[in-house]
Amino acid sequence: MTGALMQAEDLHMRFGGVTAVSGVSLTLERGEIRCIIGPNGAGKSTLFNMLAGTQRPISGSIRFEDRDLIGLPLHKFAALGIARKFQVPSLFSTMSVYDNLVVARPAGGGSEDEAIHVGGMLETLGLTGDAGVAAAELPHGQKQWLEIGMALMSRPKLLLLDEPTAGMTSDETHRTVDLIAGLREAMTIVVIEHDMNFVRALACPTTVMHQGRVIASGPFSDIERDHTVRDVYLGRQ
Amino acid sequence: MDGTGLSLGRGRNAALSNPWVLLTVGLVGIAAAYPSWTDAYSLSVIRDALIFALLALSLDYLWGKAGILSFGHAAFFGIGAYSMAIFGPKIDSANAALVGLLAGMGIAGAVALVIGYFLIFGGVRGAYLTIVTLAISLVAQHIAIGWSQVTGGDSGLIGAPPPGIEIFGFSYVMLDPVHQYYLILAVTAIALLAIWFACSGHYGRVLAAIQDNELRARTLGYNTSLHLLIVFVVSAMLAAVAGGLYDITSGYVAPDLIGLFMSTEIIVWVAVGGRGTLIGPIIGAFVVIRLQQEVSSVSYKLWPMFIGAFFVAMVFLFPNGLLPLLRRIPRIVASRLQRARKAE
Repeated sequence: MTGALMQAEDLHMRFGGVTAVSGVSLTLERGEIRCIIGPNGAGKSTLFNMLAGTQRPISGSIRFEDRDLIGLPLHKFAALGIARKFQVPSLFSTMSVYDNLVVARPAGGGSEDEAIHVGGMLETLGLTGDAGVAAAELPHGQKQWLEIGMALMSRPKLLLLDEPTAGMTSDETHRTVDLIAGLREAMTIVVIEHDMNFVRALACPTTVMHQGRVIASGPFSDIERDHTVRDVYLGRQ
Repeated sequence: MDGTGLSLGRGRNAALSNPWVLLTVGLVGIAAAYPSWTDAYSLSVIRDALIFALLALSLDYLWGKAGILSFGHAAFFGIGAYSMAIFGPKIDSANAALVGLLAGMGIAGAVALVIGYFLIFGGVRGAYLTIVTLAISLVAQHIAIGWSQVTGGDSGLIGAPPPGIEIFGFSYVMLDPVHQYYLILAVTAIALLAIWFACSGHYGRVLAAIQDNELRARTLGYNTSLHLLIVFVVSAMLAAVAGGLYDITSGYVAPDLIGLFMSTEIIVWVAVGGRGTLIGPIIGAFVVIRLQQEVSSVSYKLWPMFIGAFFVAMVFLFPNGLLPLLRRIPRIVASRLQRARKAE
């Protein structure tokens, strides 16, 4: 699959007197995996919120498959094929793991179809044994997995993952890399991450943000060597 | 998904062997047999309790299932009762009560639709929404008192048509109090069954998800505001049915039925029985009404003070209500027995 899936141009967002995002443009190709990195407060999550429809930019445009997303109600983003994982795990904490996945599944199909679909996802996530456990009782890493699973239940065209490995063990992080890498080609994935080993393992195009602006973009191997990026984020060596 | 027993179809089938479903069926059976061994006065007490149980059920659908705590539910009950008292007597047919009931449901639904649309689609949620619903009760009571040419003012309205039906030349009017009792029992049981059936499937999961994390539900593609608005309107219409039935059986409607105190009582019934359990608020209504009779027999002035203290005590001692407490009893007994066996 080739061609732009989403085009965001000249996005601006301000909270009171604080500029969170200023003049950010981003083009996402079909089937690509893109990492967005940057120090805390760089505007990464605000950019995500705008791409996912939870915040409306004060100016700029976002097009998804040639459809303008600005002003579109949030619940319509899922139907277009946009799914997201929040920075802090956002689950239905009082409901079971199984029910979280069922609710995340688009309507339609019988109960047998539901059982197969949900069962398959539980197996992928390694949560089969925890199907009846309340989501709130899962360890943090598994909560992250469950939320990724919920986002995948709708088989989205664009998957936005905000810090998917935060709080995960090293082993869980490796499994997350494998999961995301396995989805390459099936969907476009954008990942915000602080873990440089994770980004390096994905070996994907990387966009660096700082103070609400994009300061560098390109292969991670180039980003690692970029002096400006080292200054503001990776630390001068 | 094998092993979880959580799928939709299995959930409903499993419910048939659920002890609480059996308890519900048992209670309905007792209520159905009740007229055969009781006197007319006791029957009228239970009949009124059933109407209030239906009202409690309507709030539980809104508060327990959708998470919207409303202090305005008495307003919808009052709309149902006043509609019956105003429109019913004007219809010269056996369908008069049916017209009054439909008018009440229509007006309550329309009022809920307008208020709910602006509140829910306006993003008002939680405590803010509850505070606005307080105003609904206050405004409704002021209208009931102030618009005296229509509502009878402080004195209220007397008279209501008996339930009946007239269709294709067939006419039946239900004058027998026992028959009226069965009608109310049937309406309450059908409403309970309908809400339970709807909420035991995917729709129930969606409402639970909205109550748990509305933003997450919206990002998954659910039009949460529309879901909440539908629940708000249906719940108001159900409260209006209870109001209409109340006027049919009591033959009297007054501003007391529409005010803040009444709204608070409905909340107490639901909270005492167990929010979100559906059968719990019905039991809660019966328990509190029984208490009301006992306390009022000493002095009717004691009741507002008593119910306030009782509610505070319930919140501290049994915050989840009576039914969840009953659910815990077998587990507590089993664990005590186990400990006793180990000690031996």
